[in-house]
Amino acid sequence: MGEPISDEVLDALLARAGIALDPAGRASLRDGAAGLAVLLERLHHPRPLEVEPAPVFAPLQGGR
Amino acid sequence: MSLLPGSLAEAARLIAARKLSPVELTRAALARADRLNPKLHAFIRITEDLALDQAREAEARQMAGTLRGPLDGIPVAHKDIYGTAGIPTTGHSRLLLDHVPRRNAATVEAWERGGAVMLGKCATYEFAMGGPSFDLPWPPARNPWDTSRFTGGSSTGTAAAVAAGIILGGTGSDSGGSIRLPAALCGVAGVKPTYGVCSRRGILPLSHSMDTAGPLAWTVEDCAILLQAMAGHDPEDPSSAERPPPDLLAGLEGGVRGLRVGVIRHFHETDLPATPAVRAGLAHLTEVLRSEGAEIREVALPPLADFHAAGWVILMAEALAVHETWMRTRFHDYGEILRERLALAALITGLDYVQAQRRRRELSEAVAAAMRDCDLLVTAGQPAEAPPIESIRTWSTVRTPNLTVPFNITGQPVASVCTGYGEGGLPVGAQIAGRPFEDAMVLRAGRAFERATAEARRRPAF
Repeated sequence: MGEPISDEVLDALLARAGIALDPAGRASLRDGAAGLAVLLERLHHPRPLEVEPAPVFAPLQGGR
Repeated sequence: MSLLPGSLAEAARLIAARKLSPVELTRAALARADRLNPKLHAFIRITEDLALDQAREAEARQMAGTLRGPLDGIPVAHKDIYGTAGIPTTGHSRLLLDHVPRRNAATVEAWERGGAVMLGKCATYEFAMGGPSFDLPWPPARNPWDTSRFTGGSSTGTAAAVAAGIILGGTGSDSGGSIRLPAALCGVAGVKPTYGVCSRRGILPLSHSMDTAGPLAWTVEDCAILLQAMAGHDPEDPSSAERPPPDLLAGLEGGVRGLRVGVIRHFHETDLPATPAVRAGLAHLTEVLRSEGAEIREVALPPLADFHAAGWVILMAEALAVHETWMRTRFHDYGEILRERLALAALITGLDYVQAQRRRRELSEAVAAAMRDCDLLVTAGQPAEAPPIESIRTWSTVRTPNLTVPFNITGQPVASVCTGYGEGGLPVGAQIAGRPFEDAMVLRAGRAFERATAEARRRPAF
């Protein structure tokens, strides 16, 4: 299981996104956050430095 | 006429032979929509006047011998995230109730050029992500096989309208399975083309790196006709592949003899155990492909949960980027499900997003490696028959992996085909995936299966 997000971090992230939740919405989000933590745990693991993200930047040609 | 002709291809042949009037066909489709939409909520808007105008124009071409091709005079509809000039395009959301685009989406334009008759705009999840929701300006679409059941999302209305025989084809979009899941749960065919094959210009975005436009119809053959008409490079879409449109029809009847088909069993046997009917459906698909000359082998990929984790983190983060301003300024105009799903995305950091995209690369390489020895992959399309619509929860998409997202991660082309019917009499489906830009091969295999099994297909009773 991923680490549950703390109230402080949750509040800070929501505030940064400009999202104000009522108590019911906040309780529901806590439930969703537990599921999200499980997803995130699968993504953070040691990998070679050179692994590229799937979409890579391609410079645009002039005049397009 | 209680039902339209059995398929788009059949209707096109009858129109070409002057044995079917596009105006009569459109009137029949409108009458069926009038009768069934109050039960199905497949359409949020029916464009009767436009449809009849377009049908009359098609009929004039029919009489003059100047038909534009197999779409001419065919009743279709568009998911309401597809921009339609002069016709509201709402994303099934309160936020865009008054949004009337000045231009058609590139794909809408392409079907219109082919002579398609637009019957209306179809229900969707709110902005293709929030649903099924009961607090939006329109109710969610219902499954024609059992109106207490879920259609699958997010191309809900298109799948319901095709299954109910109201339209002969329609548009969907697929960022995590939104064409294939409704196709599977409603017992129709759906195709998610290779990412970049169809322009997304004019379609309300959800996840820029995974959004894919594609068709739903009764048969794979119909999907091939529809996809042929909407595929091709568009310089106005940065994700559009700079290559000639694929020829999807020339080899459609070519069969699968000699093709190597890899079966991904662990997805539906251990990673997300599916019901006996779903497993039997996949077994039926592989047996038919074998009997048609394909070579069947087993393939193991990374766990489904890894695809799910990368896919949903990317999708949610990109969706919040699309909706950031409105989430700050019009939060309560969203339905509850979408605003909560988007709020959850605010907990995803930049680090999470980049690691998800790096994992996506690793997963894509794993699938590409598996496909060195296979021409196609097959796997289940859903874990079970359609559940009751009230049973779907806000966080079900986060908590439970789906079987479709792996191919959004990789961008591969996939067809969803109906493989049978479950214990409750509702349809089950399977997916046939190919290498990127080998959409024609996917369609060929789907067509080979449906040709061999056409007699077993059923329509929902109405």
